Amino acid sequence: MNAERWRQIDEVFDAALELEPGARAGFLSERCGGNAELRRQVEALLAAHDKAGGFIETSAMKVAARAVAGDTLHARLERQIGPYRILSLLGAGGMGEVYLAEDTRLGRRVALKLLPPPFVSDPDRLRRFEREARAASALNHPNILTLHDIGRADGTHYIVTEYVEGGTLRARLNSGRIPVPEAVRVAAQVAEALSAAHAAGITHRDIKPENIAVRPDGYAKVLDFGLAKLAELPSDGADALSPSMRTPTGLRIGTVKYMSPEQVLGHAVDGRTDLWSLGVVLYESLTGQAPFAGANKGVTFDLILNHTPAPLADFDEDLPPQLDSIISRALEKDPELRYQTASDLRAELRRLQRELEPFSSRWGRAVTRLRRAPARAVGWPLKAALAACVLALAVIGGWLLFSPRGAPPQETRAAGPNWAQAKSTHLTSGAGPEYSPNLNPDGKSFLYASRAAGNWDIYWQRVGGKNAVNLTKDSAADDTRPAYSPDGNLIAFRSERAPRGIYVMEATSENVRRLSDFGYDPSWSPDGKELVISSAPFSEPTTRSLNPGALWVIDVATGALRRLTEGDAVQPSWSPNGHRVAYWGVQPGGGQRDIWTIAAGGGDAVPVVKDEALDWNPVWSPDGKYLYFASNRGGSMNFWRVPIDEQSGRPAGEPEAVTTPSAYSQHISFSRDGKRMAYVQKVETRNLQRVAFDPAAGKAVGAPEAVTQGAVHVSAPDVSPDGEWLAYSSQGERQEDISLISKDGTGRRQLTNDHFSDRFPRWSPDGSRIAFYSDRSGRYEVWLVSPDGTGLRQVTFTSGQSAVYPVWSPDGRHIVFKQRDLMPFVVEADTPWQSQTPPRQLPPFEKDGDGHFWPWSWSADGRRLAGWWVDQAASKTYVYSYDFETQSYERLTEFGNNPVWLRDGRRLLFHSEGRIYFADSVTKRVRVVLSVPPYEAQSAAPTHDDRTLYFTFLQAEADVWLLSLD
Amino acid sequence: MTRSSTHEVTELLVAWGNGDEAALEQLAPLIHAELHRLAHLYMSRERTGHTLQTSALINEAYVRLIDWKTARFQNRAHFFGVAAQLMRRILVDVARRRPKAEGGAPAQLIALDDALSVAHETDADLVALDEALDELAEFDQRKSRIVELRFFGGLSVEEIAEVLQIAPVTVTREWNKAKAWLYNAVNRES
Repeated sequence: MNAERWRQIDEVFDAALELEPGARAGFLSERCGGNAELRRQVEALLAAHDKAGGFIETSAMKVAARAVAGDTLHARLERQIGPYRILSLLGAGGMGEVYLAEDTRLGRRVALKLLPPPFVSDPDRLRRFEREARAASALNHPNILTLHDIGRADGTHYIVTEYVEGGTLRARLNSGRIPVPEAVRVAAQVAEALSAAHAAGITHRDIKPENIAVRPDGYAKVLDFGLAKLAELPSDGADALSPSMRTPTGLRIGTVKYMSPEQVLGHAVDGRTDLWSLGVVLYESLTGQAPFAGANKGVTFDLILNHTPAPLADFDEDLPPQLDSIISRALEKDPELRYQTASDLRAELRRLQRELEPFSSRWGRAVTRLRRAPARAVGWPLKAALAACVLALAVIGGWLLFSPRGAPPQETRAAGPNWAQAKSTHLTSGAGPEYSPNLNPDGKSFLYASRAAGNWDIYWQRVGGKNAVNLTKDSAADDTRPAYSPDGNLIAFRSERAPRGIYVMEATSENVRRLSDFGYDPSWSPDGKELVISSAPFSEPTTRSLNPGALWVIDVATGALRRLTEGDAVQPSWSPNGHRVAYWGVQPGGGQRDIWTIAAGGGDAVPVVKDEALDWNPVWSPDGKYLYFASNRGGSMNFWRVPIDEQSGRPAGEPEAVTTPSAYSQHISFSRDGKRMAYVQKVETRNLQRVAFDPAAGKAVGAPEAVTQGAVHVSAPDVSPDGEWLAYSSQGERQEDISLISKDGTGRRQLTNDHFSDRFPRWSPDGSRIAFYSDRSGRYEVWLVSPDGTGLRQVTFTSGQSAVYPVWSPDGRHIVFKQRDLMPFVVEADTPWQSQTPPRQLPPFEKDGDGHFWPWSWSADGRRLAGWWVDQAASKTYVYSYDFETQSYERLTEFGNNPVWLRDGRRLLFHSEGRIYFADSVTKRVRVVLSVPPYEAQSAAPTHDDRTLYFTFLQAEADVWLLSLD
Repeated sequence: MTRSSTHEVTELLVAWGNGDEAALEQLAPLIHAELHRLAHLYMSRERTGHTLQTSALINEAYVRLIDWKTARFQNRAHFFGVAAQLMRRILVDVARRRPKAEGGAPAQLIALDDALSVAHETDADLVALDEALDELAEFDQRKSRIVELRFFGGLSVEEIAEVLQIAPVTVTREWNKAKAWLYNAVNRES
């Protein structure tokens, strides 16, 4: 452009800008006269002037920085770090970026956090952090985020945790203050997590809304244990952090509001500092305002140290006055005057909660965690997802947490019954367990199985009534798993009476007849003409034997049978329109429990839920729109439901939580109108006990004493050769790990701590190693580890079926293991797998028909293996021994499993039906050593001198509850 | 930026302004480092409510990049001019070397942009702007310099007024007109 021409344009443009927009057109006509081009140019500039707004108002440096930020993230999104494939950014903060990633080995979603270099430059600090984070995660607490992995790949340090859908408490707070019951519920759960952490000597130090994730179902999880310490400036010079980290943009922004006075003053802190911070969080949750928030850090510190926050009534007069007293105790400046323990605070929150939530009962503990209205839960994931998008970037150390696909629009989601609003009634409360409730289709009465009379019987009871009627008192054998026919006139059940099988009787208990000579868990076709049953029994989804079950359909009138499934299938449920049968099964080769459906006439099975969670107990809703099931996907065993197309048996959406006020729920049954749901709330613990043993007499001496107590899950204990330690696996807990505990119950130490299933530890005869089996390589194989946790090594590399149940030879040179459909193999413990001479395999059974020998104990003289043989048809087990010299098997007992040799290699201990027995392999004499009714004794583990007998003491309390919407 | 590197930047700028081309080679890495630090700040941008706070921090960091106040130089106006020119050169170079987005960006990136609350529709394309600014300089040197000083150099209206020896109100008027012209020029090109 010509400068002279431009000067003219510029002048007119300048003058026009001085005018009101309305006056400009007139001005231009006058000023430009016939110069249309001039006018056009000025008009274009005026238009641009109005539109330009923020154009180039942001400095170039920032524009470039934003572009670089975008590029960096873009590059990360296409990266793979170690075994983790990055899917999307969840958030970023001073403590690094957090991504949603996929663990390519397991196909599951995880949260992956990349730690910025300044935090990991000091290996000591990193190690301390790692130790602390692992220790917190090792607590296995449902309210503490699970840590999967800490590692380093391509020079990047990362932390991998479970991925929690939902948002943080911060996201909730962004949309306003939180209703009292919810705020108290969240605080109680945080207190619960802190209580567990503090008991283990771990202080969080950075409790704040950003570090509390709240899932859509109301479950709260505390994030980032250990991270706060990593973020602290080292006292020995700030050089570990880059200059930029020392700027005011650094670590403490957003955190100071939650600091305790002792933190502000730089004093030593303990668990009580977390209670202060939780008090701040609770206050903010209830009022929407942090109690100590100044315009800058200095003012905030002054408020924390010297001021008392405004009473809650200033914000809302309706807030319960107890909250004021709870908060003021938590916010005592002097830690000595504060709550002294997290459990004190938790107890007060629970008490308040009980008053706020009329339904709680002795199950209050569970209520706290789980009661939350799904109606609300449907609403806020959307908001949470949006908020989380923004929020995700906010936080120092925020782990965030939103569904990348976003929540489906509320309108398109089928609105199932809202069980959280249901009335909850405690139907049975006998000592010991009551299982398998089955509602009469009219919803007015129910059946269940109970051992109240010594053996399992089927009882009938009216809803609201107290008197239980034993329908099977004529049978001294066990009768279980009752199921009303659709018209309510007949009851199908499993019976152990001779001859065993599936029976049918009238609802009045008359006309009992046998339908089949095998089968469990009958489910009626909707026309009442057929039953679907499974050939395999199980009591616990975690401890199923590896013998697969198959579904069969029985014609009720004729008893004719047809097989329905090929793969493993148990606990069937027939759909209300009759088209499909849902069931669960164990994936071949692995341990995963998934749910499937199959056409009632047979065909290909369709997966409904197929993921890492333990999914079982599928039951159709009476309208056929949902498949309910039990799952531990939420951290504890509770109910979920997935929208389903009943015709195709395919899922029509994502699973959603159906939370019941219980820590462990199972066995769902609906009334025909779908308004009532009976189920079992269960509390089961497996503690370690011991009793003195007289090996000569084969008798226990005196009463058993507890080695461990409380909510622990000890499985398969094994005593170290020196008798000082026990190794056990924590089957039944959220995580299955191998742990050691000293003989007096102190000094528990985890040898493994990860999401893999590590099972059945066995000490080597010299005590230097422990063999166990684990799916850490993607399938179950035998592994070795030293008692100090080092030297983890894979022993077997099988193809085909998993390798389980390692047993040491007495000289420690060989290990026997079992694959499901193969006879046991003997391998050399210290020879690499590739160099093994073809492993020896035990010969097949001949005398007693088909079947397999499951090895469990090698006699001290090296001559014999003890184990058991499973008679699949009869669902029975027998203790057997295998003689290496004669290469022959010998039946030692008529029942039982898990036999363990005593030192003499002649006598052994085994268990069956909750009792521990003693057997003599020569005389075949069998006698009870230990019986602890109404509880169970399992897994006998004698010391090497046979003088002390350790065992698993299994306490199951299970009651039937009813949720009703009418 | 540490105090020493701020000092270093200033010294190098002065050297470059005095015709030492080698100084640029030493300057560029320092500015790149700062750029990445800012980029990380953006990635860790706090939620919307805290945006202002973060912006303030970024400005502060930006100002610290060059030690305007304490630098000893003969001609303050000359120094500002040199610094702005240099920033322009480096930043446009960064923009020019960025990978070009191919096809549709992944969905996550869109979400990311939202999350960053980046006003991407108003973020200037630095390369296009650089060219337009050259064009503007051909017939209106003053406007071009004002944009350079403010947009690339980060100078305030008052500082620009001092450098160019004109009234602040004139700087604002000129800025607004230059902005309109550049807006059209950049959008016409794209």
